[in-house]
Amino acid sequence: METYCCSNGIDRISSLPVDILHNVLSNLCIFDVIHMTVLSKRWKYICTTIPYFRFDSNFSDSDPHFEEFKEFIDTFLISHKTINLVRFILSCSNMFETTDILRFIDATTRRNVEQFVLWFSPCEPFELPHCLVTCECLQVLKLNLCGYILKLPNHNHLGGFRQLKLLHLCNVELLDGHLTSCFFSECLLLEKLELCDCNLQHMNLLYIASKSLLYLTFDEGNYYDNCEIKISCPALKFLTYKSPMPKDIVINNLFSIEYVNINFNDYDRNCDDDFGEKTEILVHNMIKEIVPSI
Amino acid sequence: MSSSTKFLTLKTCDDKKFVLDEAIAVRSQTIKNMVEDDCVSNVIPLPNVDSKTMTKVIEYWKKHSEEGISKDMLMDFDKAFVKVHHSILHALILAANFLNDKEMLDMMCQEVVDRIKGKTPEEIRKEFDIKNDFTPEEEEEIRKENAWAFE
Repeated sequence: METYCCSNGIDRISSLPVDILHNVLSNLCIFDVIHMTVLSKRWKYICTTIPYFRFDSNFSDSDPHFEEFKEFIDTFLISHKTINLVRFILSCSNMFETTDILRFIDATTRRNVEQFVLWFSPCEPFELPHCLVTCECLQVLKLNLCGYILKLPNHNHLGGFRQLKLLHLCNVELLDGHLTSCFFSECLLLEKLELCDCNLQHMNLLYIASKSLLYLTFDEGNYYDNCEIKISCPALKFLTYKSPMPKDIVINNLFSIEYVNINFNDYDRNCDDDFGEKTEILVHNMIKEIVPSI
Repeated sequence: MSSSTKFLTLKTCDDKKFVLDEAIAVRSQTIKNMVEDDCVSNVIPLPNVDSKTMTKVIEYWKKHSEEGISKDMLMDFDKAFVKVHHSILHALILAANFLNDKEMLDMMCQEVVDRIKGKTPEEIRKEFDIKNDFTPEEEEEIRKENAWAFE
């Protein structure tokens, strides 16, 4: 390596193209990014025009600078309006009020956000705002609502989530079987659906019908035993099911399947004498459903 | 055309030639596109890459194309590969960007991030030889504007 050290003292990293430097900084928390604004004028420009926002540190709403930080987020999102936002990550539990969150969402959609990741506790049922549903550029949506109810939009036939490719719902409670099914089938480009730690307490039917879906994952979750799961996804390649055993599971039209991993994750019911028998019947029925389609 | 190994000749900006197995060279999406579009004559010019940098890139490509190499061995190789002076890091990032090798670009960018994380602005300046062109007053002003981040 020593032979290379001839250029000691010359700052070359700063002269990299702006988009590469933005890429370098894309995974840093906004605190670290703002720290770098004092490096030099060049870095101040790079850090303030960055089309990525990531906040997932331990800042608390009792911090004396909390209000300033909130203002900063607003300013960050409003300035540089012409630069599309590639990714917005806000992991804040109950640090912000829902009204703040809705304002941030609105601002990100005005910046044509492509990837939106939100982890917060709304303290009440949370309805996906219309501006997010109709955001033309949104490709990735990841939501964690700390167990609260997610209300899906009931007017998705108007053409919401037109570009959405990945939907990851974590720690949310889903409602209303019919709305949920329409919702999934009307995201025309949806390729990946991940349901992690979801609560199906008030659902009788979770129907996932999609012509575009390639990957479907169920991971953990609660109250699956009253819900029937129906899957009809002719393009599906990967199916992973690691959630509790549902009331019933019906899988149709698996014309493209390459990989299936089903593992009923019912710790509580392991003491149930006929658990094994139920699993066997369920899997048998599922396989019957799959085989004629292949 | 036979199915035997095809070789490509790459010419760097300092006129050095590298003969390379096509199967390895197409790790570069840029070269791959050229091959697929059939616009490869005898020599592929790489006007943005010098020979010193290309030697490193090829070393990386060859290692990552070795058959039967274990993940651990590759990880050790990568770790050692990125431990270079920031001027080389800069050249490799530009080369990976031009050659459109996303895997390599991501790895080099990650190395820059790793050298930034957990450091004070002063330490970052030292790491990359960045000259502070703010007056002390200007710097103080920026710190005040974003006090939430600096305190």
